[in-house]
Amino acid sequence: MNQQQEFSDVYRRGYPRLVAELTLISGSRAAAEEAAQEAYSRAWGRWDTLGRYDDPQAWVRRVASNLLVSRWRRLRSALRMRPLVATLEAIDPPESDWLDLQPVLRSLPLVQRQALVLAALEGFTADEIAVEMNVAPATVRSWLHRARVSARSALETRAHATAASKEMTDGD
Amino acid sequence: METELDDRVRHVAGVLAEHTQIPPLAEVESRQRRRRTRHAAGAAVATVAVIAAASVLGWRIDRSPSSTAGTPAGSPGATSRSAVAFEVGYMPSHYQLVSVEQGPPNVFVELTKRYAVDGDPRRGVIEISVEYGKVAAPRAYAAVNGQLHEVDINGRQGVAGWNTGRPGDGLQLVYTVPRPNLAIAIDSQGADINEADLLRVAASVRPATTGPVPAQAIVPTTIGETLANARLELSRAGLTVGHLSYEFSNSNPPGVVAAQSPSPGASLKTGAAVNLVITRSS
Repeated sequence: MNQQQEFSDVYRRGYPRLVAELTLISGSRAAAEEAAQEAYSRAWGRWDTLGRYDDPQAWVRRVASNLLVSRWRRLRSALRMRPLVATLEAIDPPESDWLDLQPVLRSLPLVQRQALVLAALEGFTADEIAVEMNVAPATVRSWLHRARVSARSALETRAHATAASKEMTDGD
Repeated sequence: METELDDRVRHVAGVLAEHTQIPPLAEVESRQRRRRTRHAAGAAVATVAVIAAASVLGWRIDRSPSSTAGTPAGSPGATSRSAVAFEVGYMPSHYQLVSVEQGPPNVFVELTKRYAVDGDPRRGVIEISVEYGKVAAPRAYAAVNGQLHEVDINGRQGVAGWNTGRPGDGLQLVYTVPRPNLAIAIDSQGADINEADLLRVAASVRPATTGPVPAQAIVPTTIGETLANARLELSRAGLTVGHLSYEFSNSNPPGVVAAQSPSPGASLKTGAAVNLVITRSS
């Protein structure tokens, strides 16, 4: 198999999953696609080396994640100046779980979101996430615990609010 | 609950992945070609600038292939330095000591190797300064092994730095425990880096102390300092931060050192740890 075919295989297999992962972290599909494309483009430029890695997709994920974090930090200050209006980015087709999950994920600090997504999607252990994010395993366990507690509470609140709203609608 | 939440995350990811269109491979290749063109142009400009800057500063350029790091004449091996000057809009390629990558409005300075002076990593101080016109108050982030941490100018993760805020002074970061892949990003948010502005990035590695490392270090006072400043003070004295504990305090602002052990003035073996108690808001 030549280099281009190898890269093409990794790209086609990994791109959708990477975009999904980055979308969950960033809340924006456009930002996720941009970061993923840029990361794959960088990977293609170094495929001589990366092609020999056991898991080149891990390199791509790391680069894309860094690009996303960098972009997020640039935007953070600008966003602080805007009114805090929660805007949900629609996906096609509409997906109720996404509408529930996105504001919940968005309310978590970035590092907690990253840890949660790596744990849920990649099946990473706290130790593996610690290596990936270059922090202590205990920190990751703490992030995951806090993220899950916050997410559970937020999802329950949303579920109660939805139920109450449905009862009122049914009552009318 | 963990499983349920993880399941929901996986389910949503599956839906998102399913509805993701894969751009043609040609688009990825085309993006890469555009970057390579920029790299080539930037490398040519920056290489000339490095040689010119090094000549002016009296640095001797190492003639080894693909190296742009120099050592000062008269003290070979004691210090290495590389300087890069480039116009915003060009992306210089890889350098031995630092690599610089920028996509306006950000500039990333990355140390590309592990540096130690005289074989003792604790003695190596890497200083990076970035100077550019028109920048009033850059923010800085440091990344260790690719993970970004906001430095808040005062430093975390073994990185410490400061910025006077005066235009032209640039940003100084001192990194006392060399690790590979340290990246420092200077974010121009709120500042003003424009296309075609000239940026100069200089990095040097020098001994933290001159002469032999003293066997004993005197514990400095860190009480009232932020953790970052305390870390810097301790590293200057040849000591490290030990166990951190936290206590609530209404009298002190959060995030400063409330107590330390051993006390200031004590004599410790060089490299020993000093335990700190940090305030936390109630």
